[in-house]
Amino acid sequence: MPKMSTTDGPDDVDIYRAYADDLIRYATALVGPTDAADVVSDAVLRVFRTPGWAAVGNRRAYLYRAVLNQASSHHRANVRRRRRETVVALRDDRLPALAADGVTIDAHRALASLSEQQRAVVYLTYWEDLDPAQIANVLQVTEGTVRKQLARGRDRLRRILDV
Amino acid sequence: MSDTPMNPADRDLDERIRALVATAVGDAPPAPNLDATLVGIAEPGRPDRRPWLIAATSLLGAAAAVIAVVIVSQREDAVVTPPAGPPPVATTTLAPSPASTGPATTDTVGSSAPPPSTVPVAPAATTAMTTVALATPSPSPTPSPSATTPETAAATTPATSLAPASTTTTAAVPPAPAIGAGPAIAVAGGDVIDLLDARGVLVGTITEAADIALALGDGRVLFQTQGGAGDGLAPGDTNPFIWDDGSRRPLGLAAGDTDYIRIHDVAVVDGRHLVLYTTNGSEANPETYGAVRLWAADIDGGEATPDAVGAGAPIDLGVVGTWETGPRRLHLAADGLIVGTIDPPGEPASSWFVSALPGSPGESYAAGLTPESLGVDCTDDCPVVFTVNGAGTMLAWLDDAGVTRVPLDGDAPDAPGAPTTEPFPGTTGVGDVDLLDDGGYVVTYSEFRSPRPAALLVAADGQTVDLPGLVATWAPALGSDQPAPPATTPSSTTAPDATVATTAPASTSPATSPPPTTGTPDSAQAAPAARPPFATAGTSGVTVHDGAGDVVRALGQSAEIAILTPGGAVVFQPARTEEDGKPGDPLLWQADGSVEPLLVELPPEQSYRLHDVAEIEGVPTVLYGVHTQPADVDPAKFVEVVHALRMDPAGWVDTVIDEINTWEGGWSRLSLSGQGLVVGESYESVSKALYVNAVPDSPTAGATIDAASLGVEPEYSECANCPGHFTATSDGSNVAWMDGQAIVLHALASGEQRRISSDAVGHLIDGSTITGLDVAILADGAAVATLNLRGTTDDPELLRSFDVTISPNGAAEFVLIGEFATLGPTG
Repeated sequence: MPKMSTTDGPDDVDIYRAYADDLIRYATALVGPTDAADVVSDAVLRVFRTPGWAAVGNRRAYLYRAVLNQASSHHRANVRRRRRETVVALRDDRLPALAADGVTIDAHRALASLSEQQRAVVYLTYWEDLDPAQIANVLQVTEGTVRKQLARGRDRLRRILDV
Repeated sequence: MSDTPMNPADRDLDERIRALVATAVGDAPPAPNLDATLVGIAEPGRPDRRPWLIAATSLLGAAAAVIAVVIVSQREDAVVTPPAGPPPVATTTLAPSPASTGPATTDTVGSSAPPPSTVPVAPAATTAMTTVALATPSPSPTPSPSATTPETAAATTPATSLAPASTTTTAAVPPAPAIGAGPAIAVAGGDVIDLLDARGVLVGTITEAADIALALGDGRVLFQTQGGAGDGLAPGDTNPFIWDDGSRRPLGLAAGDTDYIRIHDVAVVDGRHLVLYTTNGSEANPETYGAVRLWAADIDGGEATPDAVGAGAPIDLGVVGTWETGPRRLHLAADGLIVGTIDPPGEPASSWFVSALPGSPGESYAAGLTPESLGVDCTDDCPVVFTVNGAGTMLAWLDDAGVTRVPLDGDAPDAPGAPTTEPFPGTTGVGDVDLLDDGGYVVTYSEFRSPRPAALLVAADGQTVDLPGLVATWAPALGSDQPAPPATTPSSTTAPDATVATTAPASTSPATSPPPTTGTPDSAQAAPAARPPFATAGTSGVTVHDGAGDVVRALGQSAEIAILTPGGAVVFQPARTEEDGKPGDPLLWQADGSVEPLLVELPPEQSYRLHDVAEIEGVPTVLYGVHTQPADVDPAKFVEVVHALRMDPAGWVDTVIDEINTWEGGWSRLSLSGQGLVVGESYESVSKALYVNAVPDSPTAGATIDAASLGVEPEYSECANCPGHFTATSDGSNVAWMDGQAIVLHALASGEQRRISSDAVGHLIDGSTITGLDVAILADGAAVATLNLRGTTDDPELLRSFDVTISPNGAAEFVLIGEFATLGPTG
């Protein structure tokens, strides 16, 4: 892959525009809608300022990985804030929800109960319709890891949906 | 998706997960626009545009701050009102909703007010005056034509019935097992830990955000700010803490360095406090990753340091699950028996879990307890929750049939007694049940419910109490040598004091030494005077409670404030809208359930402010303000004019009491006593002062009450804890105020002052702003109050209110009741 520059190929703006919608949905699955834009902004800006960015081959995978990493650090900084949201949930019935057997499920919380890797795999499987090999390519992990994480994530979600 | 299994159950699961993911990402925000930033990065030869972006961002931030200040200012203006400055503005075309005869309107201005001005009166609606009978419900009310009348009102409030509209009651009195001197119930899941006695009455609060809290029964509380793996936590984040003697110290569980910890339960086994917990290996620890191992450790068994409390060597109870399969919360009994629910791979979704501490009595029979021996079919569908009580004398589970309890005979514990099943009074989606020794229980709902219902206390007799948080646990019994349990007085509407909280000593710190739960409240020794009812308002609507706290009726319309009138009607002000930030016009919710406007509609630059309602010489009187925020932003025109509306059946009379400029000042909420006394607080910039006035021609008109006669300064500047929030008691016999965290009652006739500590809720008051105080004096010299707070350290907008019972000796008990509360009429 030739080095990207502002003159000999798609510049960073074009690259970002090409993937922005995918990245924002991915980030929403990882951290929820409130913080998704921050996570994408931070991740993308960090990537584009990385000296080695121009030499990256699979840019899409790199951006997905960057968003996942940014989401990880974001989580720790926001544990306390999310606690407050739990309090608000006591009196807020507007949260995204999913009906199952008469019980309304908080979809964001359900996804948040998965490990980050499971969340990523579940999102890429059920939203992006990628198969394990493709997911492995995006996340830069082995296909076996993807299958294992997908199985664990499905099992976990099954229990939540059967609550 | 080619790799997913294709049997029908899996296909169904895939579809549900797909729907769940779609729901989660369906509200993804627009992707951030980074074009300008990226151009700056991608074109290093060009001048760096980021400073411009920073400047632009700063500018936007400043603009946002200005907007925020304006909004806050408007909100504050609407809540409190500023002092008179420039010339008074002739205000309002307002008038009460009147009859065909039209109300007589007399403008009488108080001593410090501008000259009287005649207020033109316009009918608010076609509603006849006779239909607005506050003291006596109209025999044939005419429905208001107002579009603001909620249709739900009539449906939820039968015209002829004041029967409780909810199963929720604060009068439930579960017979409580001995729990020592500490609180019986700990409620976590929010930004504080609430500690309650066995009847669900708040006795203390710890300002710690926690996933779970376990009262140890001796005053100490074990809690965990984060429990279990996931969410990007480090293992150390899950180390539990002990709250003791007013401070917290980590509980030194060695696993916290490498593995995630989740505490499940505490029991007193052979005189030792054992904590039951699981560990989950982190991804950084391949040897333990994914495996959930169960442990028990003596909380007091290790060496304590100044920085931590040492736990004893843990007892390894083996691997009990995986990261995905649980277990859910496990329960430990005093005989070492461990019971809970586990999520096995495949079907069914839940299953029975039993184990025991090695060498304990429970070990000898745990293996004999199986779903089959309990008569439970776990082949296809298993109960969602299994539990055991702290004494080890009763098992219980929850399934579609309800709650089933099974006694365990101490002589033959592996031969369970006959099960009894009762309906479950809560809703579906239960996550945990903590069983009391008497058969009552506390319920915690699944964290995945949306919205997640508050935890629930279900007394042995089936009565329920909503608890003030999400995750509830029950403290272990300490043994027969502990103090006796609290009295189990049955609920009664005529003697409500005996059913409410135990009395907290005024000087007792809530967290370190919660009020004793072993005595009978003072008021139970003699027939207590009848407590007045009260009303609460908030996002969930308006609720009327009787003196015992039981819900009498409810209206599902969000409101800023609601005030109960002597005849049972409620005057309330709908919540402010996002559209214009102003509260709605006051409405009258009649005792028969109808809702109608109280006052005429105002021009856009004006809004109403409801202060108080009292019965003066037999006439219901509403104290309200008309707040003007002129479109031309002329500071002189920012005013609040306060009126007294006497709703005399012979003709309503609207009287202007006073006026104040609200540009940089105003009034706090003003109270109106049955003697016509108006008491509150005025403020201007950073100073505030007692405000006293009177309704013209009322019994207290002309009375001299000033700061000196109350023993307070005429003005206070820049102080947070100085006397304030002045209010008149409903009978006009006392003026009350807050002095720091204490409530002061000053008897106007004798000059006697009583000072009531609010230490029991001091933690809450500390991080909050007091927004209202209502006080009523009862016939026996006791007093009741409602105390309103806004905001916590973490949530500046959170509203809380307390129902306060003050015994003649000055001891006070505080019961958390809702968002904004006002006291109803006495007698």
